[in-house]
Amino acid sequence: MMLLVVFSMNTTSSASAAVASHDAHGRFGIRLLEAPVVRRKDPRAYYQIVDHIAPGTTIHRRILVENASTRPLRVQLYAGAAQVLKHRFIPLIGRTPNELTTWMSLDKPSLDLSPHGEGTARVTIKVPPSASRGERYGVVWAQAEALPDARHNLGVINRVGVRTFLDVGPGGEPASDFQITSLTPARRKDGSPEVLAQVRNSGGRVLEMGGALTLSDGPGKMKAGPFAATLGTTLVPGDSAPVSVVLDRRLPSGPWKARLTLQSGMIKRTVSATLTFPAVNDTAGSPIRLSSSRLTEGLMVGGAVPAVVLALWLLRRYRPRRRS
Amino acid sequence: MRHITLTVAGAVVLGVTASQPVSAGTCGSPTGCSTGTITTFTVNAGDLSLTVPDTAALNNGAPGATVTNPAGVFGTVTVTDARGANPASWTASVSASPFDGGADVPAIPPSAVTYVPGAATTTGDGTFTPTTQTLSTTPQPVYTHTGGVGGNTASWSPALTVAIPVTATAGRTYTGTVTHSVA
Repeated sequence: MMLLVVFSMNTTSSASAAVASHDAHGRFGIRLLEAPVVRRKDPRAYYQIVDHIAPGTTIHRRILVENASTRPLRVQLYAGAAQVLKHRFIPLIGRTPNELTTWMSLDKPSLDLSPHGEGTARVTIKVPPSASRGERYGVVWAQAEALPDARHNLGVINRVGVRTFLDVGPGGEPASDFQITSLTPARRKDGSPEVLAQVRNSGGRVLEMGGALTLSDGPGKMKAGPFAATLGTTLVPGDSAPVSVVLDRRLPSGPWKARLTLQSGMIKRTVSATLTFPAVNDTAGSPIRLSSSRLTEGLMVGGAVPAVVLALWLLRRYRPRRRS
Repeated sequence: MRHITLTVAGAVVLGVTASQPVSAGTCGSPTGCSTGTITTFTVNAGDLSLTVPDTAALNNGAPGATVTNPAGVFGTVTVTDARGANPASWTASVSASPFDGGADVPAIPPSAVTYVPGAATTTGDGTFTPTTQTLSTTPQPVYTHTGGVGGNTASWSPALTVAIPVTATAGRTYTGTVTHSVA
């Protein structure tokens, strides 16, 4: 009754041997070689294709592909579709197209690279005059393949790419902006203090966030930080996502003056608040009223609808915490 | 009740701000960015790179069995991020093809395979997050790097568990492909 499904004819190689041989294979990589002058101040444009162009416009970007291995390598080049799901930039499988990738082409379908060699290619994005307004996502891929053979039934395809965010529309680009809408001191299950911030994309383009938190004016004039913010989130317009900054467990509870700076491309926002971390594990304090220059400006004007929405959200978010 | 009152008061203040986005367009040219020749400049960033792939031989098993392929079944997957980016975020996603046993028998779906990234050896700051995934033809994140600024690396040796369906045909070699996508 031992019906065998033969997955392979060769099961002798040990894991450690495999690791050693793979390490010897080296790596291959991709990079962007140029960025538009109008985005000189945008750090994202240095390693991603980020642009806003009008329908009927054509743009070009050069890329470099490098073979950092001791063997010749064929690298395939193509544009593939991507989407933003649950605050993450996710590529689609293989050469799945979307509207953007049908406008994209590479001047070479593949590059044959010598050991430790490199080659360049040119990406062209030709937006048709009939293109509708909106931001589209894609990836320019460099792909190396090891296909299954008679002795190996598992093939591995590795691809590494340059993210592409192309916004199409007449005239100037939609403004990018975001708000840090609340700051809450909390203590995690393991006793580490934590600062929770909520970030909302209030602009017209996707944001990719990064940032850090510093503490000052603590007990005995202590200072601490900077602590990296854990986000790596990709936020589509109108979307909201939590940002957590986990701090050192040995820090006193406070009060501290906390200063959080978040950045996406050229947009930077800083908020500061005085906060005290709760003494009990797995609890959160009250959300802190933020103090920033933009907040003061905003006090005089505005509407009631976002306030109600936000209040409902905050109530929903903190109810479970109180129960715990 | 005091908590709720405070929350609402805070929310009103914040909501007011949110309703008045400041125009901070990223079009840096005073003459507009609409059409015409788009001038570019050379950038000096490093590569985002990934291990050169190699094939592997999966362990054998009977229909209905769960076969474990230990960490390193297809070596170490290394992401090297020398872009000098801020934020230096990347996501490694994994997808798989169906495992084909020949034209006359049903394929084993990718959902029979579990990808366990395990712990990674990392350099650089930021947060490295592994996620075990039941594979699909759609790429799903198995390793992410978030936050952090500048160069970073992560190396992990994935393990693959294959739950061979009872409907699989004995004596057949099923072949398939796993794809890593890093961007």
